[in-house]
Amino acid sequence: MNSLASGPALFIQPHYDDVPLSCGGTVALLAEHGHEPRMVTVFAGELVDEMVGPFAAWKHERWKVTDAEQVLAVRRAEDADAARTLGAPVRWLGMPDAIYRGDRYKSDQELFGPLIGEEIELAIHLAEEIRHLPEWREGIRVFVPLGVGSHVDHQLVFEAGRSLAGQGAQVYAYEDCPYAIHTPAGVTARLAALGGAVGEPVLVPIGDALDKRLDAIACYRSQVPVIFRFTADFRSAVAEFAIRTGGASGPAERFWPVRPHGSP
Amino acid sequence: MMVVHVERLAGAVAHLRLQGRLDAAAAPGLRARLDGALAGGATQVLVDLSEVPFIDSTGLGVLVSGLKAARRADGNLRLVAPGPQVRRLMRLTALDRVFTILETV
Repeated sequence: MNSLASGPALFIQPHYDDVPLSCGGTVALLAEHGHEPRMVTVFAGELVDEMVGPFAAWKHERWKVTDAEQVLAVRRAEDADAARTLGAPVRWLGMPDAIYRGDRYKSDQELFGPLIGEEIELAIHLAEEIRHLPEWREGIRVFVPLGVGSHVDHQLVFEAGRSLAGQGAQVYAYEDCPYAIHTPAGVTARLAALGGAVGEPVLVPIGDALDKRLDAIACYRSQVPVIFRFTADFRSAVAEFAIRTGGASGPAERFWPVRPHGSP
Repeated sequence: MMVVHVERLAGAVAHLRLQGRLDAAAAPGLRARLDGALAGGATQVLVDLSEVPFIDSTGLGVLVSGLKAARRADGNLRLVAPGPQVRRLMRLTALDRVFTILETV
């Protein structure tokens, strides 16, 4: 068995859906073999009016959000369904999404731009918070997004992973989907930007666990039409990507070992 | 382990004094005490954080949830004397814009 598909594991997703979308097959494999993987959704905080500035209000209008409370309830129910499908419980943290963190991000360009200083500080705090979660165990393997697509929340969680790696944790970065599916050049660009922050990729063949990944993705009923607006058949798009990733190994998911700051 | 002391002050004011870390493990306990205070008729909630050395985002999330519940009852939830780590996380998450902070009760 692939070494990443065994042992205790904590999968950190910035938003509801990132782990099932990106590496749900590996989570399902771990669960099937009794390794009891756990998921954590970071930016799952509740909203109050003061958090919705002009940029967030513009986003809400674009997304046709009229009742944020109802949206939160739906997103959490979908996340819980997906986690059950994969066989891994999910914990929701209380961090606000980037668009609700004051006026730090005022445009899509900034939302997909570089992390600013305060956000690096928040990433270091997040690492500390993860290490004190009830799910944390000595020797647990941590999975964070690589940050393909450069959404600041994904970059922030990657940085938290890097901080954990600096404290001796074994940390791997997963390939953010659907970004990696619809924009393969984004993976190359992100790897170039990261330089020595990650090592050589490792493949995890997922075999039949691909079906569980697809079933888990289908749980995000409110999101699938938006996330996969580039295709009418998300199952084929994800399956073809996994098969392409694995080559002769069959459907697979790809992970990069995360190196701490200051590593050669 | 976190301890919550609840005191009902004059009128519809509840004073919750917290002692210990307010993290993911402690958050459900605080949520229950906040719900209890609001269900008991309190609408003005004061959460004293002067003896909370560490808060995480789940702890902050319970405070946001409590604020929403208090507002639904036409009330408010205010924080009292948060320490440096609590203030720092509130600043980093921009939740310092959401809460009214009092230095003393």
